[in-house]
Amino acid sequence: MMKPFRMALPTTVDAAVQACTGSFADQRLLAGGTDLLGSLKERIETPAALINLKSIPGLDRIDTGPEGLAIGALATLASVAEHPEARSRYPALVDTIGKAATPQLRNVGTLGGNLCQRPRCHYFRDESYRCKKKGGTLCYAQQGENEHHAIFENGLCAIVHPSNCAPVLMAHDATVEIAAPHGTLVRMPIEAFFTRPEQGLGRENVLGPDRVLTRVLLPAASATRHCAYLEAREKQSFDWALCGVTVWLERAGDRVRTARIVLSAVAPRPLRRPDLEARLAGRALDEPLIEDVCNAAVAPATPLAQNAYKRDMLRALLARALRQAWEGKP
Amino acid sequence: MTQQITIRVGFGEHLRDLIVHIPDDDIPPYQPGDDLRVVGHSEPRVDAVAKVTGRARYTYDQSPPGLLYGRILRCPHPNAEVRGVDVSAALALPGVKAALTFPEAFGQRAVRFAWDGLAAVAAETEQQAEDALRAIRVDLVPLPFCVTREDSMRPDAPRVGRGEQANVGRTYPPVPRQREGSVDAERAREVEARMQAEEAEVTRLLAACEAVVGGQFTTPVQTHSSLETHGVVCHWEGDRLNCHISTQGTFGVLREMTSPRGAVQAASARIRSEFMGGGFGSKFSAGREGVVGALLARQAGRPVKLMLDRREEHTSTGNRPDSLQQLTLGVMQDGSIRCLRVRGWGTPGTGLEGAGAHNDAIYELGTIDKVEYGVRTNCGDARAMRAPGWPQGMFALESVLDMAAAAIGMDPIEFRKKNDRHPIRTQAGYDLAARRAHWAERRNVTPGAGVGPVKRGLGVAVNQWYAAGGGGASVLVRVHRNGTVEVRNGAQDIGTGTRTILGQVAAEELGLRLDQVQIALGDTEDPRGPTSGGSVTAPTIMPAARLAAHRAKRALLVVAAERLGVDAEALDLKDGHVVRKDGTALDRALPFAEVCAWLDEDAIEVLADRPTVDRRRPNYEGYCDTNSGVQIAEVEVDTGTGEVRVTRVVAVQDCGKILNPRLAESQVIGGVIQGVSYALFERRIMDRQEGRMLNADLEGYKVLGPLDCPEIDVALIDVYNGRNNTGVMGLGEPPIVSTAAAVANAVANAIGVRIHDLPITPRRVLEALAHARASAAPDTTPAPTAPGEEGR
Repeated sequence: MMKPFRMALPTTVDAAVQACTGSFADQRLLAGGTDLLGSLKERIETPAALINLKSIPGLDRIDTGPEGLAIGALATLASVAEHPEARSRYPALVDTIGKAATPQLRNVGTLGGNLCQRPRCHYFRDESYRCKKKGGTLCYAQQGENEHHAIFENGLCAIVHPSNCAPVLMAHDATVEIAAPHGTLVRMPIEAFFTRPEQGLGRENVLGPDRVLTRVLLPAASATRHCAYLEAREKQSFDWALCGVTVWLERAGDRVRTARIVLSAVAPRPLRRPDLEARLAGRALDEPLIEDVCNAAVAPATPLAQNAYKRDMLRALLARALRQAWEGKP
Repeated sequence: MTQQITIRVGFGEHLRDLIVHIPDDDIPPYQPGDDLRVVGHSEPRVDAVAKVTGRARYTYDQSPPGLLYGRILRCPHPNAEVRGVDVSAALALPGVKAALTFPEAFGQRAVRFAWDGLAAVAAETEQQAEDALRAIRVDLVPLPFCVTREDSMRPDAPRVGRGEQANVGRTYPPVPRQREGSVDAERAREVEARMQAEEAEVTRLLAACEAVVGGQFTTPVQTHSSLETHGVVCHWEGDRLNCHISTQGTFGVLREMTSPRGAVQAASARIRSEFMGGGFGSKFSAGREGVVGALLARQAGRPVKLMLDRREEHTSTGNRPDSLQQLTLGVMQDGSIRCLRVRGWGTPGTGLEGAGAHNDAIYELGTIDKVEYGVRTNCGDARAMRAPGWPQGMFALESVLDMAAAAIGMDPIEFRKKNDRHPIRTQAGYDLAARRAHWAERRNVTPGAGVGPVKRGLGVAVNQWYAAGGGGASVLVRVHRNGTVEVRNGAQDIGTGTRTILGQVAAEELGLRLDQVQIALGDTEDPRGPTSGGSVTAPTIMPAARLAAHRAKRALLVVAAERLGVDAEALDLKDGHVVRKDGTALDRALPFAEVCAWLDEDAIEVLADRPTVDRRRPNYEGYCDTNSGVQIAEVEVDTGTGEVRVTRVVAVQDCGKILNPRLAESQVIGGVIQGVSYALFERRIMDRQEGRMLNADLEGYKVLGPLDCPEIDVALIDVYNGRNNTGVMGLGEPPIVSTAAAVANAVANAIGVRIHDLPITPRRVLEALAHARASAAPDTTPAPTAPGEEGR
């Protein structure tokens, strides 16, 4: 049962931003609601107000242009995956969306919501555990059941970021557009959007209480750029990744011109790994190089008692994703 | 009095004559070659459309006028003394119409597992009920606790039980007790002596065996996860209770609600469960929630609906207990098994009993030295779950059988055949399963062989069951003057298709189509029926139904014979008409409905009891006491990520006479699905810090979904066993017995490394592969070391 709340129905982005600071303070933004409604019912979050973004016309638009693809934050995952431009030019994005949740949830869940959803850590999701993330003093996962938790950056809080769209968008060097007070729009690389636990335990991204994520902008694709997203999980129907790897490569002949590597479900944020990218730049991808990159990938891991297996999983997925992106397979 | 008859028994090519004795008033079982028009045909489930369109009304759908919503306040501590519970503030809130406390209602002054109940309220809305729970004041003294077997078995572990109750105690062989409960010292010494002799004998035999294999196996706690949660809608008329309940035992609930020793003590009651959304063994009784619903409704003087939420369902309505099993098997090079040693531990919740594993069954295993212990934990108590003790036991036993076959270089199926005496499995089951699974071609002769990271493998396991039903059911058949037919029994359809086969058996006898028979189930105003447990429902109800319909037919034919001026014995009913048994034509076609119109009274009404030999022997001597199955699973294992996919399961199964092949297949499919889910996904995760279940929902508690479902190839063997007048045997449980074992053996065959722990998750596969790389010793394990035998 939810705690009662008030709901604002703004019709413009500006009105939504204004409502955030005005009479609807202590609010949460409502998009598809597939995550938030569960949190409200479980009393993981008990805001006094909701600001319903679905009443803002046009926030679900998907626009194509020479500079790439602009996806409204309220576009459903299904509508992105069905978009012809996305299907032809960003197959890895379509691929990752196809693995998210269930068809029913993808018909309702939005891209913005996917990026801003809260973690699935079973301690965080249980009202009876007041963990660090909820203002308590303990990260129960450190000494508890941590098989599904982070192996990187896990000292303070061991959640894994749950989005599987985020790593693919990050690998594509996407930009997010954020509405701020007084009608201003801020753009930033999506990499800067996600935060580490050290930057504030109560959140996973930079959005302040008076900010609204409005669009995600994907740069233009080209025939020499390839992206592969791979993940491993326990169940194939409706489950969360145990480990995900996204590799984006731009080839110049038989060499890698630029590479972007993002690891997911292994850290509190989608984890871009410039150190691995540097090992690839200017090199031809062969098995010794793959071995080298995989070794380097897991080297900084600090697994907890039950999740060292994620290192092996990460190595296997990374090697496959590198080969796939190199060969240009979707 | 009995009559002596000769019947054909067996199956397929393996039929023979058998002289049997059946009661004078029963009819002979169906025989091979009988011209059956409805029975044995794949009639669609009669309530399928109602179920998929939402027209079927479950307990959850009941909403009588004036309904209140009940909720239970639950305790987050796994172990606590309850000093006081005060509901006065809750009762003062708007909309709250009733409240009770568990100390007052049940004398319960302690909480022994997290989310056990403390108090309950009923209010006009669910929101008001929820708010009321938050207003209840509770005075608790939290105590130290253990929620895992490992913690509970430590020498310095906090006591889970009360008084002198140790955390660990022997459950098998049982400790002999006096009537009042104290240990019978003399008989206990005899048991100890026998145990020592068995241990010494097995030690001697193992030393003489040509191959000795063994290992330690663990299985998780599995929750029933019924899609319809436990709950009731209760409404009192004076001191009579009307109760809709999601149950697998309407008459058990009736006894409980009206028992003079119960908490409710209704003067009379009517219990209904027309449709129910899954039980799997967890819904035998009214449960605490059912009793609370009845008490709140009486206090409020209004109907109360109390359905548990998902967390309550996972934590407080029972589970299949976990197990730790250490098996050592001694075999000879010719494939004969000489002896088995078993040491087992299981946690059935706060008690000791109910966590045994059937790991010494089905096969000819020679001398057995088996000792089992129960381990108390501060967790929700075990309840029967679909073949209690069997999937966990067979997982361990079938694993060591494969290890033994590998050790002596024998094919796993040949090895099993050599140690199996079941006539159906040995004469047909193994070969049929092997053929359909392409065992010879698709199995890895060298486990772990194959190119690339994804390995494929096959594994075999078997099952057996013992349900030919018994007494305790009556069926009412009414043939009305207007030609309609009713078949009534008060037991429930747990989901197996009882309603459909009940109609088929009656329709067959009356020469009607299934859609010409109206079937009523799930109402204790109708004749008594069994609790759906142990797979007894079909073999208990169907013989009564067939006999009642048969007698109704004879009565109707007497009416027809009088009008026609012929001998009633010469007549029969077929295809909706009266016919001559000898096949010659009557003067004119005589439809069923026309004869019904000749009835002097409103209806022919026959109530027949389930025929039995006597109280101790409910069934006739027949072909085979048990029904059996053989399953072969095929898997793909990604050795890079550890992901396992079960791609195909061949399931050969028999259950006596197959009344409806489609529904029988559906039972097997359901068992295989739940078995694959148990093999790969399901497990209760307990947090040792606070003692609570962390995955008490259907997201974290992972149940197989459509993409995880293998292709399931069911091959049914129709068996004439002669054990009752329909010959049907139970089928709800046997298929799940073997599935996880077959999957585990297939995984070992695929990757060349055995996983000793269920569920077989990617983590377990990767850890086992890493361990094997480090030790380079596939499919063997060091001799198990006992995790402490303090309670012995």
